[in-house]
Amino acid sequence: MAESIRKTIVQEIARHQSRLRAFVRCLVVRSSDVDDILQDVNAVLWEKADEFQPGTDFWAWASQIARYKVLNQARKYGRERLVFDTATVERLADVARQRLQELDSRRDALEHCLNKLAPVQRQLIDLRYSEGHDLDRIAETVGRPAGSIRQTLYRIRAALLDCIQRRLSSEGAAS
Amino acid sequence: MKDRQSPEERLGRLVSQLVDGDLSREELDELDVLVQSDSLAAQVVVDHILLDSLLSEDLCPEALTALVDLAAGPEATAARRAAGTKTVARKSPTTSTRRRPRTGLYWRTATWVLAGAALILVVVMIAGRTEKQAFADPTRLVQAALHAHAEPVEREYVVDVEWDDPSTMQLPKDVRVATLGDRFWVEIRARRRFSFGREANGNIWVALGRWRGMRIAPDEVGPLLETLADIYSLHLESLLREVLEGHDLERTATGGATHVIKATPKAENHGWVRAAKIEVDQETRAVRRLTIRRRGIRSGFSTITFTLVDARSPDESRYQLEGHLREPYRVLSRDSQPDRRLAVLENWIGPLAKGWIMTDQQRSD
Repeated sequence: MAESIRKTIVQEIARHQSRLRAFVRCLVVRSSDVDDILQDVNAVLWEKADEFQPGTDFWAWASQIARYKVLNQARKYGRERLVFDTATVERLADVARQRLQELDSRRDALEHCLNKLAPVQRQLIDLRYSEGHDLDRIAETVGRPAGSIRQTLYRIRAALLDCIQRRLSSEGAAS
Repeated sequence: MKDRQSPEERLGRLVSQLVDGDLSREELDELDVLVQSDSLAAQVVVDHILLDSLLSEDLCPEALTALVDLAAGPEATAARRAAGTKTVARKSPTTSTRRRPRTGLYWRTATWVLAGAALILVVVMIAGRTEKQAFADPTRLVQAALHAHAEPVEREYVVDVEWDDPSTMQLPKDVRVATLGDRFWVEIRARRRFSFGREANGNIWVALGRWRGMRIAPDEVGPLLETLADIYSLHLESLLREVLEGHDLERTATGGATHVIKATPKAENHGWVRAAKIEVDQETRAVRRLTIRRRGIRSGFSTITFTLVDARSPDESRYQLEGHLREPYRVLSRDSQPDRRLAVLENWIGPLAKGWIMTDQQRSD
């Protein structure tokens, strides 16, 4: 492989790594499956590097390969493991590919929206994501049932999504 | 329960369980049907998973570093699993008086009683003033602080750094140090959070998210990491002892809830610290604020301020790397995938990672 192509591919893969990881995560049931699939995806991107035309849409090419890898896993494991049905993967992939075009904007919007959360809500988010506590531990910490915590976290995420969408829309309107 | 839920509620519940990794086979089948029959359901699933990923900021760059291996050569393969309060009782003066009939015996008795009471009063007042003076004494205050910090209470400080030379390296804005006696660990709350600490053997450990950690041996530590470790390391007990032994102390103020002590190095003391100001809580004797003017190992002069923001029961596990990680975590070190560490760091904190770990070439130069 020519040195320039090698360098370009590595740079593009590195640049899109977080996007690819999020994409794969959207298509699998178990987060523990993401690493292995992503490793396979990177390996394929490397092996097929000659097929990529520098200057074309790397994300479109790479996400397609990632989609195939996840579909292969879904067909291979079927009912043996918890994997989405292949038709589900296709649907989720279409949505995820579009959403991930604006990953950086979403990340920036999230930072803004996190600051708007009420302290109690922010505490739950911090316990879940910064401290890495599972639901049972959070429930013990705040003195509420785990089921109630799950519901509340869902509502907080829904509120954050709403805020992110409004922010993206207003930035879109402003530009 | 399921029957009473609206379709939106049911979808929400399934998505929550999906995000939390708590979906049964039957629930997965139900979610499959929902997503395939309703395009809105697919959007809800993706939006929530994507948000969960962003909140986790969990890049787990092992996949990327495996690619680095591929790029380096065909034989490279990825290996796996190689990560008090003390209060001072203040005595208050007491008095006693009583009226009695005027007899000679009464007056003699009364005189003795009054004299005794006056003596007690004087003794108590002297004792009270002495005690006050004792705790107004800056040395005693710092000693009391030393005792307070030897107790099993974890205290968290926010750290602010001001360089004399503003062009010196930019530091993250939100940095916190948790301390337990002489132990500490640091949390950097930048765009990506990470934590680091130092082990007894001098290794610096770094936790990048919940799944990845690394250890960097003392001779591998690069200039940037050395500066960070130098600035943010807070061995409070040792520092207070150093202040007691090598500094002249002066209590400059008592205002509000703290005693303020200024520490100036003695003439024969040529350490890194040029001056320190210690604010000690009047009740707990804990250090509420510590301001140090010092020369850095590599970085010129700075003023570093540690401000107490929390005190809590200690979590001992957090003073070591593995206490920040969750299974199935991976720890990289000199003995286990040493060359991956730089790639992993670069993916987490960007190009500045090059200043964190010295390569073999750099060490031999």
